[in-house]
Amino acid sequence: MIRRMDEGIVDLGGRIRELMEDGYGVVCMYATEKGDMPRSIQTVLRKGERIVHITTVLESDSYQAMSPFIPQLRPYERDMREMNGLDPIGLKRHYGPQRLQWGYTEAHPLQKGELPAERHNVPLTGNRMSGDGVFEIPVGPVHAGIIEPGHFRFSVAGEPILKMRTSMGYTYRGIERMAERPAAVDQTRLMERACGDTAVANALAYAHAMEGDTEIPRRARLLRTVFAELERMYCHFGDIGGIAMDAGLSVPAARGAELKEEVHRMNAEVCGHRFLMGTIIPGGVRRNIPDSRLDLLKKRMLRIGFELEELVGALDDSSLFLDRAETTGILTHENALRYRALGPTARASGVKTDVRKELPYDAYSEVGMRLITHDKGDVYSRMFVKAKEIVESVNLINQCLDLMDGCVIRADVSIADGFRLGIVEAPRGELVHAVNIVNGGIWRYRIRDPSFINWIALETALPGNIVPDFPLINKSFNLSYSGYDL
Amino acid sequence: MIGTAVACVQAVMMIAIAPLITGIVRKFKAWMQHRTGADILQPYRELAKLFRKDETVSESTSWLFRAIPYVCFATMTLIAFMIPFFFTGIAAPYGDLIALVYIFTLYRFCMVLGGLEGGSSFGGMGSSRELMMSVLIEPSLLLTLMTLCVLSGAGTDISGVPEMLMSMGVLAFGPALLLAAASFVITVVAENARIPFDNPDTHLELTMVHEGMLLEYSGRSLALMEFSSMMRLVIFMTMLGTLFFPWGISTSVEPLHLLVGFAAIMLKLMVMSFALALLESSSTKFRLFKMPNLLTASFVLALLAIISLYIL
Repeated sequence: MIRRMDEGIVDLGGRIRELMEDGYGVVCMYATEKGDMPRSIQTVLRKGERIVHITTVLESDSYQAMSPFIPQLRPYERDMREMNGLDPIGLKRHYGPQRLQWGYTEAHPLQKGELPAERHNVPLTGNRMSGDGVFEIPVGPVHAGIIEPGHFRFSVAGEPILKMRTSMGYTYRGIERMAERPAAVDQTRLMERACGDTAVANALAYAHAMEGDTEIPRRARLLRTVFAELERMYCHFGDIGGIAMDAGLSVPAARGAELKEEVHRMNAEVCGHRFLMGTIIPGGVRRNIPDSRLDLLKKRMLRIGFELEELVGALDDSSLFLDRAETTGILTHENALRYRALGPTARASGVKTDVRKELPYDAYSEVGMRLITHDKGDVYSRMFVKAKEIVESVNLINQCLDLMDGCVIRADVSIADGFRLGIVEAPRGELVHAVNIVNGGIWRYRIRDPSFINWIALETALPGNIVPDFPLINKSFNLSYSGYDL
Repeated sequence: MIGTAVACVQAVMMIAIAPLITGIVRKFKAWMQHRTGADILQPYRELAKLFRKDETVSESTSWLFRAIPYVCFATMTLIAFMIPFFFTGIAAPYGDLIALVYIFTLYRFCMVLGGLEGGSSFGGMGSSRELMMSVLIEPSLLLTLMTLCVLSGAGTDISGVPEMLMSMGVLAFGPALLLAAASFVITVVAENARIPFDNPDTHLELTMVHEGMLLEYSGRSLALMEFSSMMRLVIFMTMLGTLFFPWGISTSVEPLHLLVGFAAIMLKLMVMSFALALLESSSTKFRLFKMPNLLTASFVLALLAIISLYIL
């Protein structure tokens, strides 16, 4: 299913553009270090279920910048420069969130071997706005609420926002580097912790990458789908409650938090972990849900469906809430396509993209689901899409529970050398794990979280909105900081 | 003599129950959100904790920053002595209703300066938003109080207003009083930085108005600022309960009358706390640029109130 290509660095941009005109989108781009394999840029593109993998061997540490004419590559070029020291020539300034808060003088974080002890701080770069009456508001990295750390710089003229710049890297843990171990070692635990509320999706992407063509037992495939949808449910419940909270609507906010907690407790009851960690393993699942528990889960699903309807009804009936949420933070269809926004964010802007539909994995090919889209791209659209997706999740889980049979939950996996890819639909969108295995060891492990792309989408949705609306817009995107930093 | 003593006692009581009323509003809100909520005495503990804590002051501030909490606290204490609580006599009968409005303005002015003093962007944003709102609140507050003066015939004498209104009996219950009260309710909500104007429970520094100005304060200064805010809420509620709807208030120092007066005002405060919690639980915070619309509505109501006095 994966088409492999080799392309010189000079023609890479042209080739990517050619494929994009054909309907492909850039799924992932990363650099590998020299050693067991040559220093190279790996590019993965996807159109529906067709995947193209381009290997570009590099001669030097610099290349002609491609992002000026391929906007989708902006975050990747920045990432390769900060993490691998690849210099894009001709790029005047970098777009997208800063990747790290620090840098080495003569080294870069992903290089092989010992890293120098000395690091220096990197100030926020990028294009700053200036002019009469234009001010900069620095926000973070320490925020007043219990959220992840990230630094935002708003250029404002009074209350309206002209531009926002993002600076990340406060939760950098070096997960990609940690993962460079023998391929046979089970690293599910590490992957689950790449981003806490995407534990299942990350474990699943890792498992898919490692499994390759291994046949997974049917019950395991169904259970994986159930776990993935449970995760989507609690994430979306948290988002809906959060959106209500940031609009100042305290009763629905409390309701959303309550429902999220209910799913967490249900998770703990059926799988032993509130965030569903330790449920997935390459080759199958680690946790079985006994047949006796299936009915219980089904009953809960029914009730959650009703309660969701009530919650969304309360929000829909509030004209004050609609006044806040509609026309706020619009991500246009054009921008969503331009930067290849992902997940519910893109679907709320009318982009029909969902890995579960396009590239069905596990049990998604056996069950039916609707693709939820909305066309406005504002805060309300994103909330609407998330609410409807919970309904779909309930349906999917019910279908999986009906189909459940067999008792084998795990198969043996043998890991071959080469390029491996795992693509799944995480609650925030398409999540990619791309792995290069050489001589039985992982040479390069790349995690491309959906937030990696959607942070840029957020930056483009802001201009024209007023500063006090930013928290609401930010919450409706609900991007991951640790998933970006890794 | 005894009247002055009772008046002093009532002012002290008003100050003393201020955190309690805040606690009660929070408790009501918690119930409406399906939560148990903190104890109603929690605000006292918070204040006690803050009074014990050390203070951190930004190096960019001047002496003004440290003086402002005391000024804010003093203005609110002064107002507590100027308005009737459960007895129409007042301990400080020197100011009138107009002075009252501008003592509130002094309080707000100091708070805005305090927000700017810290030099942080959030304080500046909070201050600029607060000033935008105060420009719109002030005229409607003046007009509503003027309606009261004319309606009761007591002039700007604060303790005269409830006495005269009570002596008017049912006649006082005209459109003028109700319109003025409606306008005043909006003012109460806006002045006290409650939803839909501001969210007192928010953690989002970018949306803050009132809280934004307090961000740089800590320790004892913060305690004084918080205490003043709590007092301001009680004072505004009391004004609504004794100036606009004084029925039940005691006009003499008879112990029985005082007891009835106290019970009446406490009941009114409970009802108003509940109404405030209900409003805060059912409304969203408005978009910043929509707030002037609501404040204009308040102004128009006040204007109608005063017009209706003359044409009806």
